[in-house]
Amino acid sequence: METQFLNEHALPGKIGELFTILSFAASIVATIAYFLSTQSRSEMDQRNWKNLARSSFFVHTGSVFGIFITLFYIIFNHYFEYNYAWTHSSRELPFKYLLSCFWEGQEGSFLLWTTWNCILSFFVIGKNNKWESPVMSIVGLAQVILASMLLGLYFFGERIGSNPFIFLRDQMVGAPIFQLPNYLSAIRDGNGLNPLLQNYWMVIHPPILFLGFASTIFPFAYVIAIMWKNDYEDFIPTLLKWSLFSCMILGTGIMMGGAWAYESLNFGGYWAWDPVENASLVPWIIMVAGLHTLMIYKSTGYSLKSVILFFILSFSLVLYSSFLTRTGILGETSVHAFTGEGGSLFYHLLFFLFLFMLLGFVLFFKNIRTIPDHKKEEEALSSREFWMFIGALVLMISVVQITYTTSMPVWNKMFNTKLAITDPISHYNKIQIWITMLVLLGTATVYYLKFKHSAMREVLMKLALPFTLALAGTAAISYLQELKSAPIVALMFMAIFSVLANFFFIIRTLKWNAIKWGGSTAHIGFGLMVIGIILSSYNKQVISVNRLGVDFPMGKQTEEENKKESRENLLLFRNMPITMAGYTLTYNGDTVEGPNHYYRIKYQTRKNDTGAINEEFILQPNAQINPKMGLISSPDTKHYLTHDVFTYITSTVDKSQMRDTVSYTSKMMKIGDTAFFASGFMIFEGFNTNVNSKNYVPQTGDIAVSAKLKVYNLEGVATNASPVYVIRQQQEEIIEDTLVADNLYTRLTKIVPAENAAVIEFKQPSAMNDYVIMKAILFPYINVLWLGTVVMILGFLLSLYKRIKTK
Amino acid sequence: MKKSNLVALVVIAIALAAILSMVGDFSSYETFTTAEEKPGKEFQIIAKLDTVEHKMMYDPIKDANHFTFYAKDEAGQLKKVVFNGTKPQDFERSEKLTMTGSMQNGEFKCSKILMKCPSKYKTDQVAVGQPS
Repeated sequence: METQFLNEHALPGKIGELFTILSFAASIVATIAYFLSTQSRSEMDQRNWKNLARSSFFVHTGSVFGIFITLFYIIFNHYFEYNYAWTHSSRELPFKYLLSCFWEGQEGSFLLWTTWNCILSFFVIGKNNKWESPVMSIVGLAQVILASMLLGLYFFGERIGSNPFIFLRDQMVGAPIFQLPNYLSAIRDGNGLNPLLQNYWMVIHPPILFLGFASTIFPFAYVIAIMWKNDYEDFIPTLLKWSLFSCMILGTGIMMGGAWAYESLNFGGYWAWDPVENASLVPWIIMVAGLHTLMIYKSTGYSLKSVILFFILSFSLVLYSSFLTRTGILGETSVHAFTGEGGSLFYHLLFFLFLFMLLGFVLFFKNIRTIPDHKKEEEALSSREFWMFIGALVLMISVVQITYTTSMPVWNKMFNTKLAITDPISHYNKIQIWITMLVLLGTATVYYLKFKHSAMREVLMKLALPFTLALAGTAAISYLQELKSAPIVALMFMAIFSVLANFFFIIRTLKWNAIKWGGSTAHIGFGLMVIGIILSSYNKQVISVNRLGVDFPMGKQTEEENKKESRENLLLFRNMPITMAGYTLTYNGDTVEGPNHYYRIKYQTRKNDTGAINEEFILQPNAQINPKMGLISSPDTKHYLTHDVFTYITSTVDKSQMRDTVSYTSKMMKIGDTAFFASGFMIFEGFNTNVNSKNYVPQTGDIAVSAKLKVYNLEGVATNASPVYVIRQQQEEIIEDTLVADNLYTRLTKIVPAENAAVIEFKQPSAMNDYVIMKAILFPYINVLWLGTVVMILGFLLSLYKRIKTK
Repeated sequence: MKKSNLVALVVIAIALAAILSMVGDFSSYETFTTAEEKPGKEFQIIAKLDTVEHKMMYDPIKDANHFTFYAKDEAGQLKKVVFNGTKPQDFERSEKLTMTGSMQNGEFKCSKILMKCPSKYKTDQVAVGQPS
């Protein structure tokens, strides 16, 4: 007989499964109906099929929302009988991180993607024009595949998709605990959320990034639609809006990921050319190239083929990026905690990728002769379209290089090799620096050129002023910031030139016609970003350099670099100040909050002459000694306008493992007596027979007394300690109380009722046993990067606004 | 030929050149023996921590940036590894190490260690409390 399990909440799971199947079925109906509507000749048929398609798509959307809400309901109520809730959440998570639990898992992130597709689709349906049916056929097809990712049904012995509503006991078949009907009462808490994801950026970054990924299907679907219908009229404004939207959102999502990495990861930066970062950057670069070629097509009628290819590629590479990051194929090359779900997902995603790539390229080559192209008149070298096109090609070089290296694990798998890059950062930088230079040159000059033909003399005259100012600016900055590498100085010059040239274009040509500022503003933002990147990374300085001891030959060019490389970690004993880069640092102990240890590091600067304290702040980098992942260290950063001081823990003492040699001091204390220890004193305030201590679990027959101790540290802060003395079955038991913050251990070992006194034993293990090892990095002018990002996003927003306004 | 075609060719040529120029950045995973043949050159080696014969040495109070241990590469060769950094937490439990560094005087001086722990992302153990 089957076991009847107690207290399971089976209903939400049933509802959720119903919604998954409904969403899958409805998406199939919608796709077929939209397809037939596109193919129908008579208007009547078109309309009928379209109406059916719409209603199915509404049902599909409703079901997707249904899945979303049901899954959230399960997580929110901590129904740990469900695998998803158990794997990705726990009771102690605050509300905002319950949302992050969603996107930690593979199913949840696919769900997020589908949801955005549904929402965005309503902007296509709402237009109610000739593009709805073909475009929605394509989007619908993607929805079918995405919905199938959540099915978790078996076809011919192979599981297709993964059902988020599966019970824990069905996931782990055979575990002995599930033999018990009341197994649920044994599962007190879930497995919890990966601590790296417990950061506010992780609440907002994945939805935005997925909105960006989702948006790339619309430019794709529109170019497919124009080829399919062989109709090249009335699509430019819509396509332009979609590609602008996509560039804006995807760009925001990527940079939010950078901000997250900077704030909560400890690789010391915002970008590491990690495969996962590259995989989201590449579709964005192609989208930008597509946007620019679309502008060429709009103004001159050239290069529609490139537009089509770019938009096909952009979405294909979004699919490729999902393939790379979710199938575990990246293996050891990525720091990102994405799991390899492996198995059928590998082929599922590969199918998704090839289906859409083939769809795009087959249609493209089939129609290559009918795609309109301006007939063969030679483009002038002085025309804007010529150089914009070159710019797009330059972006493609960047894409080819990034994709080629990022795909190394794929090549390894295909050709059975074992290649890897030893130093990815310099590998990418050394090519991308030159590409960025060319891109910046393009962004600086493009607005000064006119479509068809421009008067070069005039162009050069207008560029003379920003050029000269940029030269002066570069000289000044290179001198002040000690930029010594020639390519870096050249890159700096291009970035400043781009910012100034676009700035002057705004004030001299566009004037107060602010709605036209979009493109120039985005270019200024990009230039500022590059300036910020150079300043913050070229002079990024590890300031926790330990100059004592032996140096290591690290294969660096100079002695100074060797030193820097070899001794970047600094050891701080508790309460023993050490000077570092003009700061006096003191480690003042730690605070425990749940699984997090916050280490208080006090930074002080003093005036040279008087020695009076100039500035003082406390950074609290946090580390979790996580049973599953080891030390997880999150930095804390002091932000100044001109630089950031970034501090994180690289190693700590595990206090529970520590064996100390300090013995207890014993003291007979009457009520009101004071005892002193190394970093403070305590007052014995009396006994308490109503014992309430976290270490003491009462049993019947116990006689328990605790001592009330008020402990003052050097800063005058008081805390209470209550060591307990118990007589249990004629045996005495002593329950110690530990004040973690003060590192003070107290015991009550004897009670002398006659004198109203007690023997208190205490010890404070020496500070030598309590230390942290930390690393501190100074990022100069990192705010320029964030400013540039915001300006660039605003530029896209402004352009989008302009396109929405002009009907 | 149209100018744009010409330029496209140039761009493709540059892209190819760029990729070819980077071939030197790639190295396959090596063993201690091959690394020893080119002392001072950086390699990536996959190895296993070995604590059977030798202990790991890390005394942060003396030098927080000095950690030594022994590791066995894929060919089974045992070498002393010197890492100029802090001892990674839970290092004992690592299953596989990917180390970047070079051989110098019979020791592998390593600047970067990626470690793979058995339970890192696995969630196959249910935390069980007492039934109440």
